[in-house]
Amino acid sequence: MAEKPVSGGSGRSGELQIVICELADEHYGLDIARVFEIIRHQPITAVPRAPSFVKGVINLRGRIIPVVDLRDRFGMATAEPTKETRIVVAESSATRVGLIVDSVSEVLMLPLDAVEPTPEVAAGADAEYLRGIAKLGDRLVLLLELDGLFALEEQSALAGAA
Amino acid sequence: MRLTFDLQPGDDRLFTDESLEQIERIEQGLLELEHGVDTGVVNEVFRAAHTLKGSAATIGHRRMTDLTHAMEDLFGAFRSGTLYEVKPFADVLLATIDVLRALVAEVQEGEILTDAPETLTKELRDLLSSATASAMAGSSAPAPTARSSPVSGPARAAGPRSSADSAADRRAEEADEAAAAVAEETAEGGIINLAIAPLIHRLLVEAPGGYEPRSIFVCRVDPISEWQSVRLLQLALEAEETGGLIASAPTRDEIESGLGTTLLVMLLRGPPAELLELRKRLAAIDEVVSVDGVAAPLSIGEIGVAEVPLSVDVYGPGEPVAPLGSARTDDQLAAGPAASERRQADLGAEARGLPTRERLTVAGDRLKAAQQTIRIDVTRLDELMDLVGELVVHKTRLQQSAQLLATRLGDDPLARQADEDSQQFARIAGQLQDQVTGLRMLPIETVFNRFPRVVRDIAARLNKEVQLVIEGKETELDRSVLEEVGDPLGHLVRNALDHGLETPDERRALGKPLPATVRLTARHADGRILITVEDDGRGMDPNALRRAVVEKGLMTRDQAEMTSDADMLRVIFMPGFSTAKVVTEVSGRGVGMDVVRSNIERLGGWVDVTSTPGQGTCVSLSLPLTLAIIGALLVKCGTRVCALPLTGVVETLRIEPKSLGRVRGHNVLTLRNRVIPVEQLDSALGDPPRPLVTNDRGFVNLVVVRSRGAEMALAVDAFVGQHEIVLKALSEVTGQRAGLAGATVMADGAVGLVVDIAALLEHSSSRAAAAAAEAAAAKLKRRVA
Repeated sequence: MAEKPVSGGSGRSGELQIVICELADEHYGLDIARVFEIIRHQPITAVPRAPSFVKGVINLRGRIIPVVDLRDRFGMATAEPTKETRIVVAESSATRVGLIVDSVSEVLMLPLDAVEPTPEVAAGADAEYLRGIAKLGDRLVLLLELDGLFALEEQSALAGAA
Repeated sequence: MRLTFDLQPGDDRLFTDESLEQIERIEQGLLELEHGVDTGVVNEVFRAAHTLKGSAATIGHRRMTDLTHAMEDLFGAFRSGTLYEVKPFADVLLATIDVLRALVAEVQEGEILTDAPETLTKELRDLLSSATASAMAGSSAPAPTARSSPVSGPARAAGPRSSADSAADRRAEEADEAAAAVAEETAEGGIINLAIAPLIHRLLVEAPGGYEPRSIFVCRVDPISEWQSVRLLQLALEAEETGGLIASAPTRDEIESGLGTTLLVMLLRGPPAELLELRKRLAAIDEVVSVDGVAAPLSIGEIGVAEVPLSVDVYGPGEPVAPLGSARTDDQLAAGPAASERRQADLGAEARGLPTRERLTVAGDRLKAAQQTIRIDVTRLDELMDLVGELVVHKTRLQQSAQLLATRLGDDPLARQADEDSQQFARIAGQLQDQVTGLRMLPIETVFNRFPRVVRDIAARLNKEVQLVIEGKETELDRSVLEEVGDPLGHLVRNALDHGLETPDERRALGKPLPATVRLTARHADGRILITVEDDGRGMDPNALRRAVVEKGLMTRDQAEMTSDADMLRVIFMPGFSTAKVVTEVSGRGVGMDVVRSNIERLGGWVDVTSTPGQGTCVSLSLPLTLAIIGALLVKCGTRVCALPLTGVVETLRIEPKSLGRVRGHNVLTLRNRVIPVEQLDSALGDPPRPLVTNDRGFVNLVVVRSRGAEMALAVDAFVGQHEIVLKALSEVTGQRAGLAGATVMADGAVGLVVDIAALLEHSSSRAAAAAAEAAAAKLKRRVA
């Protein structure tokens, strides 16, 4: 079990170390303390009756881990896996999951004061899984809140099955 | 009110676990003691109470400390011999056990759960003081210690010990341990033990030893001898001559002053060979009945591993309780008290001869065992199991690579080396897998242990005299099965007591033995565990059952007539069979037996019953040793592989699609006059429906599965084969998983889905199909008729 990150992030105080992933030309940031590893795309075993964004399960060194397609989750058009496609294995407070992203570009330190609350327009109804937005040069990075993501997922999973 | 305890966060779990363990030890001990005081057991419960008191005091649980203290004092009185019958105290002590459990729970709950401890503490104290007073007053009464124990003083005073200094405390505790061990080795029943233990206790407290090996000899002189003191003196002098005598009880002075006793306990040092010689010489002295030797705290013999037969423990009135740790065979049990006498005679004879190696080493073994256990969080074991599973998968891959290398390179040293290495690796991985699987195994004792108490309480409530015999409690099975088997077993035991056994009056009228016997056994058979619950009660009458099923409309008269007696008994497992009326009429059991069956079947097990009217009933459960590793039929279905647990698979078929029938838009299969709904496996699991898939020769591959009497044929793309698989849970993120038991990692590293056949049959969209099949079956029947 990983240590839960202290609030404020993983790096020196005032900074957050994040993994930057690309999804349809948008940049998403994940707190590195929540990321276990990043693996290449691999065959996924589909699970009947799972919500559509749950692509199925994979074997990660003996552990069975559900894999979520973030494009599908965020309502974007789904894409075929490419050489760049990665599965980011991350852990929320609830569970360990794999997140399918178009690619992983870099790991960087983000000054906390560069993070702004999510504007209404960008967030829509799904603001729970966004922690905020950071401006890095000319790039906008959306910071993901894993707990929110899974809370929503569970709800929709239940709703989907009901 | 919120309770707070002096505990580090997270330590409450440790406290709870350990305390519950001690409490259970006391409960087990009490149930044994109720039928006769045995020093070993008395010491054990005393120590457990002492430990419990200590932990309660450490965390500042005052009410628990007080209660355990009062309990410990009472046990102390048994230990010192002031009290020698537990039975009058049994009810209040068992009530104390229940309250203690509640007090332990308070630590986790953080609030007061019981207000009983104060009253109970007082009750225990009052009981102790009044009992002690009457014991003092009636000292002329034949107290068991009075007959042969010449000592008073240190040993007797050793009972309630509340504030001794810690070193003395520790020494006394070590002495207890040794005394208990010796008492077990020289056990001939509680009374003699009570005489020996204080002597040993005194010896060890008075002569604390260093680290040299020491032995204790217990010598007995013929009670009818006219020269008792002379013989004792002879014994002591003989021992003194070897130079190895450390101390004796009674002492030489006491013997010379003519203290009338037939018992001499000596603490000796010296090399084992010399001591064995000495024993021979001592045993050769006239009128010496026996010389028993055992190792004092440090063992003198080498550790021998003896073949241990399955244990048999008896709880209940009538039979003398087997001393702790002694193994008794079926024959002895069957022969009853006569055999017990024979056994005692045997012991006597044995004692006269040389000590067997086992006798000398058992005490040492036990001490070692106590020191070599550690506590591990089960989640860590599960993680270990995961890693081993992965290692095994890679083992196969490595072997494949080595073979590939051999074909590529031909006869090449490198290829040979790789092959040898991979073989070696495979062997070690296999052994590791066995070991880790073994770590998860626990003796069924943890479940069986609750039953002496259950039986005692129910028997008391029903006014029945019952003894419980437990056989094979050390039989091991996986934790996962163990957790599930307790409730069904409890059900069976209650049923046996309630409905199986007659009242004492009825039994007397029938000339059947009292107390009645309920026998709980466990053993390994064919890679599974077989558990039986047997009673010697009324049994069940197949004809009465026939009448009952016809009355209840579960069978027609013809069907009932055609059913064999053995099959007729099995109707008790049918849902809807058991109602109170039937139960009383057919003197059957039946209450919730269908629930027992479905619970056991869910675990991949099965139940059976045999019975002879007037002689008793035996219900047997067969269970897999583990739920984590199961045998499964692997099938291909669309893009993935699914595993169907073999326990639910009836047969596999390849048939032409045109031989399938269609009823109301559903495919059905007619198999030996049964009409079975057919469905594509992936659709049954919840994927979008697709037409039946045929193989390249135009056949449909079908797997017929069954659960709780319902059947279904699942169409699959291809059969892969039978494999042992490791069952793993699916994350909640994957949504509702009706029809899936979990997933497994297959040899090639891909994930396969494990089908929950029972749930599939229950939940499946094929309910409509099943209804259609029923309709078809009805039609078929009409056509046949």
